[in-house]
Amino acid sequence: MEHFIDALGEMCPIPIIKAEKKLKKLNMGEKVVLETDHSCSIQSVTSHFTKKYGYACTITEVEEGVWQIEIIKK
Amino acid sequence: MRAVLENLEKRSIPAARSKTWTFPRQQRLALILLSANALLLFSLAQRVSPLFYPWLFGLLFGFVLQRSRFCFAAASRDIFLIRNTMLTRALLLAFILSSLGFLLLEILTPGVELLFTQGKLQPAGVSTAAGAFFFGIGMVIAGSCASGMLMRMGEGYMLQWLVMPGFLLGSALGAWHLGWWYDRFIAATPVVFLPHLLDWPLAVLLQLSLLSLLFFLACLYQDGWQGISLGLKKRPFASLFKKSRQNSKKPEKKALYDLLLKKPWPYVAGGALLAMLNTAYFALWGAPWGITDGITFLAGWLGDLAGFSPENWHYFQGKLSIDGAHLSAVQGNTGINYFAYPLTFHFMAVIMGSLLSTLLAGEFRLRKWRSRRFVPAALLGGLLMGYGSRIALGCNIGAYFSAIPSFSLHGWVFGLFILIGAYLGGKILLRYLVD
Repeated sequence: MEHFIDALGEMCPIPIIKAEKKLKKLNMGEKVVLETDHSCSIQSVTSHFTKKYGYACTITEVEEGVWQIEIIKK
Repeated sequence: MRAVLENLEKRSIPAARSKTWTFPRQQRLALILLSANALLLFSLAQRVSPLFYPWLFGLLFGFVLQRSRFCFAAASRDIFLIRNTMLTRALLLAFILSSLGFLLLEILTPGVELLFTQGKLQPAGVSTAAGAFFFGIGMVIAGSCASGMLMRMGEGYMLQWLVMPGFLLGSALGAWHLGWWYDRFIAATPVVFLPHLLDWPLAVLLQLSLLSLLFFLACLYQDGWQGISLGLKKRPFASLFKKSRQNSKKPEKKALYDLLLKKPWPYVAGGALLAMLNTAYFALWGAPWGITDGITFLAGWLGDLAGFSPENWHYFQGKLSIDGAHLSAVQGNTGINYFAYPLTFHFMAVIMGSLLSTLLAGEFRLRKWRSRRFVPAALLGGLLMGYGSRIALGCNIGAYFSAIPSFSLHGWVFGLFILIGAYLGGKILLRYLVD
C-alpha cells in the first residue's frame, strides 16, 4: 500500500511531521511517497528517517527542484 | 463503488511528470553568472575596493549554506519538534572548529589582542536574551533564520522574499528603538570576554569541554544509550569510506558532478566549511562573519528614501560616530549614503552564492507558498528576527555563530535564549501552520 503526501510549498519541519504522523499508523513494509519542492527536505527528511528510524528512502527528482521521496517502513 | 474508486484515485500517486530536459539551461545560466561574478571580483581586487572580501565571502558562504542545507533554525527547532539533533550536532562541531580557528588567529598575531579588539564582543545581558528569544520565535514561524532566509531567497522561495521586508522593517524598528534598550539595559551591561575572566587556557578548556559535552548530550537525547553504542559498533565513518571507494571505481564526470554539485553535502561538512570560511574571513576582512549590519543599513537607506531620518535612530548614531574605515563610503560629501556600506553588498552576495549553487544543481524554480496562512507568519517572523537581532546586537550569525568562537559570553546567552524562543515558536507552528 502506498500513501501519498503532498508537501509542495511547505517548509521544514512540516513535511517531516506529516510523514512521521502517517508512518506511525502504517504496517511494516508499507511506504509513503512525499512530494516536496523544499530543497532542504531531501536532506532533512531522508536523514531523519534513515538515521533515526532505519527506514529506507529513495529520492526521485520529478521536475527541476521538485522531488518525490519514497520512505519504506522497516 | 464510485466512492471507493474516487478514494483510490485520491490516494494514488501522481506519475512523474514528463521530465523536460532543461537542466543544461540552468547550468549555462550559472556559468554566465559565475563569469560575471569573477569579472566583478577581478575589478574590485584591482581597485583595492573594500567590497572585495564581503562579496567574495558572501558568495562562498551562500554556496556552502545551500550545498549543505545548513540551517540554524532547524538546529534549535528540531530538538523539540521532531527530537532530531543532527543539525544541532553539526553546529556544535562547527563551534568547536571555529573556536580553534579563532584561537589560531589570536596566536598568529602576537602583541595584539585580536579577539578582544576585533572579535564579535557585545554586552551579555537582558537585551541579548530578549533579542535572541524574539529571534528564535521569528525564525521558526518564518521557516528560516537570517542566513537561511538569504539562502532560500537564492533558491527561489517566494515566502522568504516576504520574510525579507519583515526583517527590514523589524531592523528599522529595532535600530530606532535601540535607545530604549540601551538606556535601561545595555549601558550597564558588561562585555564578558571569557579569556579575561578566566585566563586563556581555562577559557579555551571550558569552552571546548562544554561544546563536547553538549555534543554528547545531543547524541544521547536523540538516540539514547543504546543508539550511541549501536552507532559506535557500526563505525560512524564507515559510510564515508564506502562512498569514496564507490566513487573511485567510476570516476566519471557525472559521478563527480553529482557528488560535488548535485547531492546535498553532509551537514557536518557544511558546518566545518562554514567554520573555516569564518576563520578565513576574520583573518582577511578583519572582523568575523555578520549579516544584520548590512540588512540594517539597507533598512536605513530605505528609511532615508521614505523621508525618515535614520541618522537620528540610536543604532546609526552609534555606528556613524565611530569613524571606521568601512564607513568612509557611507559618509559622502553630499550626505549619508547608507547603501554604500560594504556589508549591504555582503548579504546580497550570500543570496547570489545560493542562487549559483541552485542553478548549478539545476534545481532553481519559483517556489510558491502552499497556503495563505504562511504569509502573515513570514512577515511577523521576519519582523521578530529583525527587531530581535537589533536589540541583541546581532543575529544567528553575528551574535551566535561568530560570537561563541570569539569567546564572548553573549554568544552563549544568545544560544540559550534562541532555544527557548524556538521552543515557543514550535508550539505556534504546530498550532497554526500545520494542517
